[in-house]
Amino acid sequence: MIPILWKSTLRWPLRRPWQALLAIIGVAMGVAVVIAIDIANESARRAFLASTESISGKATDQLIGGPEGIPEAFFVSLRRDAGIRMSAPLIEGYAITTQQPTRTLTILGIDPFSEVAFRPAMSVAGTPLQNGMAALLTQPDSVILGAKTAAALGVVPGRDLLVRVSGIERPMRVVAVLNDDAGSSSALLNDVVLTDIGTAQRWLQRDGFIDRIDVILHSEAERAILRDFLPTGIRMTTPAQRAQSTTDMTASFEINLNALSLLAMVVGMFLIYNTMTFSVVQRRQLLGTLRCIGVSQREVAVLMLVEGSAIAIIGTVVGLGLGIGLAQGLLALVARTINDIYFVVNVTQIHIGLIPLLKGAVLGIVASCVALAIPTLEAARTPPRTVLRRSSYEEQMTRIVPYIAALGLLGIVVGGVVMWLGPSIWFSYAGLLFLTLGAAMVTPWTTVMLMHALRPLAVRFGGLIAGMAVRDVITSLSRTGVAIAALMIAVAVTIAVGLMVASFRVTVVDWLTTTIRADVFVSAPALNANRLDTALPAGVADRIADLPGVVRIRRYRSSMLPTDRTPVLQIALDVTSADYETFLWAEGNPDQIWPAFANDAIIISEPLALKRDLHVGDTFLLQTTTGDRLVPIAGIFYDYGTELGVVMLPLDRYARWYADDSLTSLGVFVTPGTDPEAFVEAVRTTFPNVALLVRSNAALRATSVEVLDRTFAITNVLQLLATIVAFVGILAALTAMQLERMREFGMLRAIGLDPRQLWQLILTETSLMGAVAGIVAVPVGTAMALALIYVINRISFGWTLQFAMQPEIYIQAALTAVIAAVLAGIYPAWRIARVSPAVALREE
Amino acid sequence: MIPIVSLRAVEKWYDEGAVRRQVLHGVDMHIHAGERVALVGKSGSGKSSLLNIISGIDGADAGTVLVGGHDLNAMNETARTHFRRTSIGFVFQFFNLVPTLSVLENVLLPLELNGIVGRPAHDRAMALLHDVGLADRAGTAPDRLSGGEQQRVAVARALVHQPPLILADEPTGNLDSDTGEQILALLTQLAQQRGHALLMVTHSREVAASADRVVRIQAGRLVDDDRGILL
Repeated sequence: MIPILWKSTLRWPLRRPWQALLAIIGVAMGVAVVIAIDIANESARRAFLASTESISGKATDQLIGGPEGIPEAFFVSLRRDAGIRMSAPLIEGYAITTQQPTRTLTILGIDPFSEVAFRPAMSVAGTPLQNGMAALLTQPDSVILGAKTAAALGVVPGRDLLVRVSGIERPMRVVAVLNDDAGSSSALLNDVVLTDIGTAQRWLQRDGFIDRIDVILHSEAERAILRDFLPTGIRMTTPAQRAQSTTDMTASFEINLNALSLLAMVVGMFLIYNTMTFSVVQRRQLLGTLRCIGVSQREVAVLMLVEGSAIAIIGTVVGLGLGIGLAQGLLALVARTINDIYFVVNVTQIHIGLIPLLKGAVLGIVASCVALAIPTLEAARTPPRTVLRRSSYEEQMTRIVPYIAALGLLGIVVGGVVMWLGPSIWFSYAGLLFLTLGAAMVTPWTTVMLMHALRPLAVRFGGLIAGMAVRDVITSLSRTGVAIAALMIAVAVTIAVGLMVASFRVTVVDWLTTTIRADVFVSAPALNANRLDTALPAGVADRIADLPGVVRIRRYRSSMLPTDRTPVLQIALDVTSADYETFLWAEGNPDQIWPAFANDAIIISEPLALKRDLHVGDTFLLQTTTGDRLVPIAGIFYDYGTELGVVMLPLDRYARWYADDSLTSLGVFVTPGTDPEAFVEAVRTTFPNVALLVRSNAALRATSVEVLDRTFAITNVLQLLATIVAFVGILAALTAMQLERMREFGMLRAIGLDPRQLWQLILTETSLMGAVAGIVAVPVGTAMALALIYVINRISFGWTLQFAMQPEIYIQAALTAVIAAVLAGIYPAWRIARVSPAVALREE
Repeated sequence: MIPIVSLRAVEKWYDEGAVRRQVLHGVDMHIHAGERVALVGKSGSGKSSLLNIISGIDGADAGTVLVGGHDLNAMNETARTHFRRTSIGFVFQFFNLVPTLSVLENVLLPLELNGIVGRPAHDRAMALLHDVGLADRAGTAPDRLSGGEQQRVAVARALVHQPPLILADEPTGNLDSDTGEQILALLTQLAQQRGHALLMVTHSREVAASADRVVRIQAGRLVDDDRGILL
């Protein structure tokens, strides 16, 4: 194509810099949110895998036991009787430093004699590590740290590090710090506290048990021999399988974050579409002139596409930079949610991989091109006679608006069907996208209808100026329609996410009220807010039961149960007839459930049943210490504690099957009239030197809701980002639209409108647009919320939520729309009121 | 002598909702090379429709349209675009310069569209700008020029690639009478010098008077085709 033709188009953004800036912001923010989520997720996953990998060292296989771990005597037997010399016992736990409570350290208890083959860096002669290893065996509470960790914590060899382990504060004596020049061994110890296995057992209250045994096997034959040697209850796995099944737990969480980030991208796409459509509408006469003098349709299309692509590329590049910055901010939120709900991961720095950047770049450019397609087509089809035959483009718009609305309605129906019948979560999201776009297409028609209905009222109460404002919204539909649709989508997203979070909160609070009945809860401190799987010291339950004022105690034993897929939470508990009403059943008859439960069955949570398509009467495989057992399912209960799924069985049966009589938490019922908080203090006084987490019913509920709110913190941030994208975009779009009408406003000033009347005209018009967007967003946002609550949440997490209709969410969203729209009118109104009519009339 | 424009029994309808309105009724018209023709008539008489058909912007529904030997009705959109590029020069009432291009670039545009680039294109464009009196404003943006100056640039743009036919739609309609006269003189003089046929749609007696021939259209029919009718 010829250079001058290129110039004619590429210089256009320079003449309308605010429009180009708007589009760039739209793309950039959309891309930024998407890659930020990707990078944060990827960084958390990598941090987990890196720590798993470094801790696993050269192990080819791992042996793991039941909830209590592996009896340490088995390790001796493994070496002596099975002759597996290449084996190393390990125990893992977590500690929090008192200086930096947000920093989680992994305690790695090792046997220094067995380490050579597994983690050779730890045994290089003459390194500080080797000297430290000797100290681990000889000095009590001694630890080795990596240089980075030591520097971050500000400790040097010979100094103590104060930490809290299992709720007890204790000093760790740093005997060695690995320098960076020690090579991989330093990296190995990133946020890891290396100590002797005996010390770790004492700290973690795991005397006599180890978590796992790493082994190096050289052949399948060797593997088969070991498998034959393993007693019931000890299983063989590989480091990769273990890490995979752990990271798989966060799949739904990641998908949902990605989907929310894509929503921000969709809003960004609307901005691009809005800007480019606006740009084409403005240039219709210019494009018509070019077509008259012989520029072909293809050339016009290429020009517009290149211009749009240039904006998309700049926006994408800016978005990549912004996204990296945003990822750093989101990382803490992602890591906290993973720690609260799934597993412990310590991640402080982002990992910028090529894949998220490429994905962001491709998505930004592809999304922009999709958004560009319609305006480009419109530009190419601009008839040359536009210049000669001054037919009204707006009239044409008004004519086709009902057809666009009909197409939109079809999109809504298709979206609903796809969402309802689609086999996977991606179909649900595709359905939601159809629904969103369909609603956007119906918006211009709705705008016309609302304006027609409103005009008599506007004239009656607001006079001619208000009537003009109403009419202007309709007569500029090619510009106002898209802007209102974009604002509507942004507001609808705000409503939908707000309603979803509110519904979740209401459901969980109701559920907590039903299920948490005991007056006081006692557990061992744990890092993971959602999993109380640390065993209570022996005898605690009996001593609490003997305290004055106790009516009864309900005992629990929680543990993570490995399955053929992701692990599930197993809760063994006491159930008496008094506890029956704490369960709400999704499937099964309570009259049949409880006898079966007491006999040989288990009950499972709704998310587990939905994710694995399990029903009452089916069986579930429990890998118990005394062997694998296929157990019938007696009932399916509602549960909002964890999306991983819960299996419940009677405590006495658990003790038999797992050869484990430890407990992890207690529910204490006290006599009526006893102050729960006073009882909490009484328990704490009874166990002055035991780390116990003692909370009243009210405190536990408050903590649970707090965890829930923390879980949604990232959702709220993403919602806020999507709203900001929309707000900035709409503000700029409406401002640009009004500024484009300088000449028209100049004419109105010339014929006698005073600045106050112009303010009234412009602000009435933009507020009307905001109001229409707000009104249409109410049903659309509600429909999106219903889809999120009843379809998407159910498929991805397995939760049935109650729909919570909260008027304040609607009011807040409508106000956002109107405020954005009014703000958009302020600058043009201010500017035009200051400019003399003569100057305004000359503006082109 | 073969006419540059030859219309035979041209008809045109427009659909207006359920109603089909005929705007041209069997129009016959010929314009020869170098001839200056004024097309006059009331608003809605069919002037613009006729101009659209002659320029290939719109198609006739019946009849024959031959321009420069091309049968426009037999051409597809791509061919018609190429035809406009090579054979037509446009002067619009509202100038329609490309605001993002300088004065010189606006004039260079048709040349480059026809594959004429570099020094020859530059020299030819500058020569024309000189002829229209704007050589010293070559680097100026169009919005810095007065209406008359913008229309002079438009004249230069219409002539620069030497099309056999110049179509001018109300070329003085947006200018004061003095400036309009100057533009008209410039347009007719340059067209004559270079041998271009010129068809001007106009309401103006002055414009019509400057033509070799005046064609009056009324309700879609050519009612007069003579120099004397307006005088």
